[in-house]
Amino acid sequence: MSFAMLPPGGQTRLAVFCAVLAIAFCPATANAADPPKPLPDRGPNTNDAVAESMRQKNGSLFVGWRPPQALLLITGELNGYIEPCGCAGKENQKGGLSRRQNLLQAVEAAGWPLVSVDLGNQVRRFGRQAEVKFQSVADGLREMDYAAVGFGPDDLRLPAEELIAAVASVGDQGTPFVSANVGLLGLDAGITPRFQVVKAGGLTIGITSVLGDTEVESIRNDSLEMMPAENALREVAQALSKAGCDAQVLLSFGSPEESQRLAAAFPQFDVVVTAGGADEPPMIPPPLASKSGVLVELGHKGMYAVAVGLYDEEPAARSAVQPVMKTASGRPFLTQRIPLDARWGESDDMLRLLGSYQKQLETLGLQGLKLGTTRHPTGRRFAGSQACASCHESAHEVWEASAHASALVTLEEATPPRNHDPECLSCHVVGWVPQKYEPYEGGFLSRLETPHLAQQGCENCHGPAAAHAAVEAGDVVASEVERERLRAELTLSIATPEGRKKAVNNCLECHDLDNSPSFDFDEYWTTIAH
Amino acid sequence: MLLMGLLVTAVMPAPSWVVHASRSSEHVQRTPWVKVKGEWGMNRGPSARMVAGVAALIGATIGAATATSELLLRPLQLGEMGIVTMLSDGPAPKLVTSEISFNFGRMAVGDKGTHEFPFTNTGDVPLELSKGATSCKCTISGLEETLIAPGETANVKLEWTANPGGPGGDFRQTALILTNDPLRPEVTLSIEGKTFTMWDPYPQGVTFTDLQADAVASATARIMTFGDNPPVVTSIRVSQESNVVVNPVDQGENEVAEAAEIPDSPYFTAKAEPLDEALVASIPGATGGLLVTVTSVPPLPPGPMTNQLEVVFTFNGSGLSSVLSSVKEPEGGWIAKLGVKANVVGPLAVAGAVWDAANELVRIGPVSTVTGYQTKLFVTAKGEHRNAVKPRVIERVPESMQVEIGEAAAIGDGVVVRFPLSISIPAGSPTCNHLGSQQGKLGRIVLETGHPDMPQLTIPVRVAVSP
Repeated sequence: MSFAMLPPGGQTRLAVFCAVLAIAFCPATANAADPPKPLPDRGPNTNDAVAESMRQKNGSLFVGWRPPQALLLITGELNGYIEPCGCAGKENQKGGLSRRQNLLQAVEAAGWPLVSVDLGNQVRRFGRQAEVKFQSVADGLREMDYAAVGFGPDDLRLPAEELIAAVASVGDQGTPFVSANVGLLGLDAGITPRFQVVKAGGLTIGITSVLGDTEVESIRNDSLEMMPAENALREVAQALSKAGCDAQVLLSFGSPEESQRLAAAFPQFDVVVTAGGADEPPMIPPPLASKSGVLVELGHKGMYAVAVGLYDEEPAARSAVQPVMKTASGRPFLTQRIPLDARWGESDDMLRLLGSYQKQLETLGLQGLKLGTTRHPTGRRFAGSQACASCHESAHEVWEASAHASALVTLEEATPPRNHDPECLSCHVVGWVPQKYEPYEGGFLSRLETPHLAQQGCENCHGPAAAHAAVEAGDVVASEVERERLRAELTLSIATPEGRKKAVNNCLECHDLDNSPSFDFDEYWTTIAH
Repeated sequence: MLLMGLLVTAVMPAPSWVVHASRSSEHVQRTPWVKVKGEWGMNRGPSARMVAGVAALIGATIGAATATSELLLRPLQLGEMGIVTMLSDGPAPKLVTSEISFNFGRMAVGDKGTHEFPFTNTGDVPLELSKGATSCKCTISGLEETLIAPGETANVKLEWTANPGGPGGDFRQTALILTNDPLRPEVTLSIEGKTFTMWDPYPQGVTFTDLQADAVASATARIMTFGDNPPVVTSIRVSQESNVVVNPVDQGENEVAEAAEIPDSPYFTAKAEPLDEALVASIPGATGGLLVTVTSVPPLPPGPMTNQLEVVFTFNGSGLSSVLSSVKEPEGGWIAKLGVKANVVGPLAVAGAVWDAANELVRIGPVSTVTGYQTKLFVTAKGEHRNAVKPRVIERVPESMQVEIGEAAAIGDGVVVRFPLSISIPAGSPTCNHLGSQQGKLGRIVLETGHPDMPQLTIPVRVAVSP
């Protein structure tokens, strides 16, 4: 009986038999009984439906990869976005430390030796809140066991004493923070090393970071010693060369053009991570000008991570669009852009860290955060939405039924609550400058001090109405001309192109791409038309 | 084993390699080994011939068997299907794309751009396409015909409106296309380029970190411009826009106030000059630029400061960039507003891993007398008297705490001088409580500094020594 004469089922069974036989007699399959480890393509705390929907939305991950010898996981440019705010539904937003930690844990669960590095720029603002946030993020990065973390320009605009408190070694715990050309209190102060050498999966990986020259010029902080990136790298590259590294990584906080120039000057770096570029990093990072190695962009706001899988030999399996690249020493590697979307779920450790951050903001209060106040361009004060209700009844009814009327409640009921966070408050109460995260003079301070200014109310669009309300109520005597002028100043009509433009721009102050990516004026207006 | 595998492969009739044709989750569903085994009769996974082929490969590559056996014993991934399909000569769609990314070059903010990406099917069966996700504000069209017959080509069109109302800069938008090509189940199309506005500042504001109250210090920002002519500055000022820390008492009156002119800041001045031509030339599309220098005017009040720089400039009305021809110069010119922020500090400061800057104390906490403890702080001196500072310890609480002051070192260009302080609680120190509670007041280190305005520096220390 030949094989061809076998019935289809018999052919199949014989084929399986052959395969099983081959595997059984193969000495390399001694560990075949071990259950296969899952690919690190989703987090532990999310369900199949969410993971599948994110995969369809943002693409599959690690397609065709076999376990690398070591995985370099690269993040950066968090720019203060420690979590997606959730204004438009967290499932529609990317980023956040919580998802990032779950990604790292998924890689570890897959048994892939991991080296995590971060380009830097954990914050993007200046002041007490940025200092508290930087400390929180630094704690989070230590907790996630990062091997190396660079500095961004906004990090380095913070006071040196705050930076040092956040990044310096404590006891036996070393610091992951590293810079070849920036020294806190001097390059020889020894607060942060100039490079790191780490081992993973039997590979030795050397990592250093520089702040680009354009960024160096933009910082005025006398407590830092900074030197041109190329001069610093000349010193550090020599030491790295002697460390016997299998791969070398440069975290370059400069423009892609600047980073490419450094890569050309120091071809020993296999992975050059750059700042700048577009919000969304390329699917496949471009090769370096030196032809070996790769230039990694990360996008902005910590929405993406990029993985570089290093192999001992050519990866056997890959998809048609995933090229195998090579390091300067000829070691093959694959790359993967990773969107930090809802497939990763939330991590308890990072949620606790975020809760602690919010608690610190509450303890400090607005005064402790040393927020400035801005005078409203009109010079007027706020009356609160209730003051409008007595005359503008129908408009008030529409407002009460809208999400605007419970904007502060949303923050109070969030987990953890965000109602003491100026970056959230600015769009959830009356009388703040949305994009500056500061109150106007006389704007909302707290439920206790300014209860009439809670929620997103009338005056955020129409302007401060205290004078108008006082005149209409007869509390202040004004001429008819003055009364009409006050009325006219608060009128906002979308019937004219100018009025519509003013209204749309006003909406965009809060409904921006970060917090309301689906915002469409005509669609949203229907929910509050009055 | 090799022979057996090859033999089986050779005698098997050619299978029909069926790829899931649906365009949602199913066709990119992973095909686990056990599932393949359980669905043999349904012809939904790798065929018997493929399995035998894989077996033959295993036999042939015993030397490198680890990787291959892993391939068999863990869920197969999509990319790996390529290996399997190499063994199959069954019909399948095959997607060929001549380009998957397109660079629009420079676009003015608000402009629209479209580009069509040709998709060709060089396979034997129809190629199915469907839309996956796109980045925000990016739309796909041209997918009305979701089936591309063998040998035919269809276009997928991406349209993008360049970040209306937003800043200029690099952009990249992607769109995911799902297909039934087993080798390319997902294709990501990408458009990119640079958008620009009439002017673009860098950095976005001017920040003075740890500015000393009596210092005359300068910081710069540059404003790149994209008009047809270089900019001409008509006025420049720093206004005291926001300099009052939140005060709950000051809620104001309901007065019928006029919009008040915000006064000039008494603490900062500003000047603007043309930016270096070489720098302008290095920025694509830039036609001019301004270097703005902000300088502090002492004495400055301690604490945080927020002011605003306003630069008014014109392109002299001879027409704007042709790309931005729809944009009219505002009456009075363009106004660039940049924040001027500073934190004003005294001449001496403390830093270190255990320095709590918010509460201005050293946090050591409970220390075991068995192990002892050591840490390091820095004292920094700034301002004109920095070189007169020669710190000396004149008091320690607890007395068992040892403090050693190291050599002075200038930081960078010498504007700041640092002194290291090595602090230790030696093993065997007597127990004490200086945690700042009712049971014990905070400890302290008192330094005689030599600074004429601040002759003593007291550093509170939260520490306790336990048995």
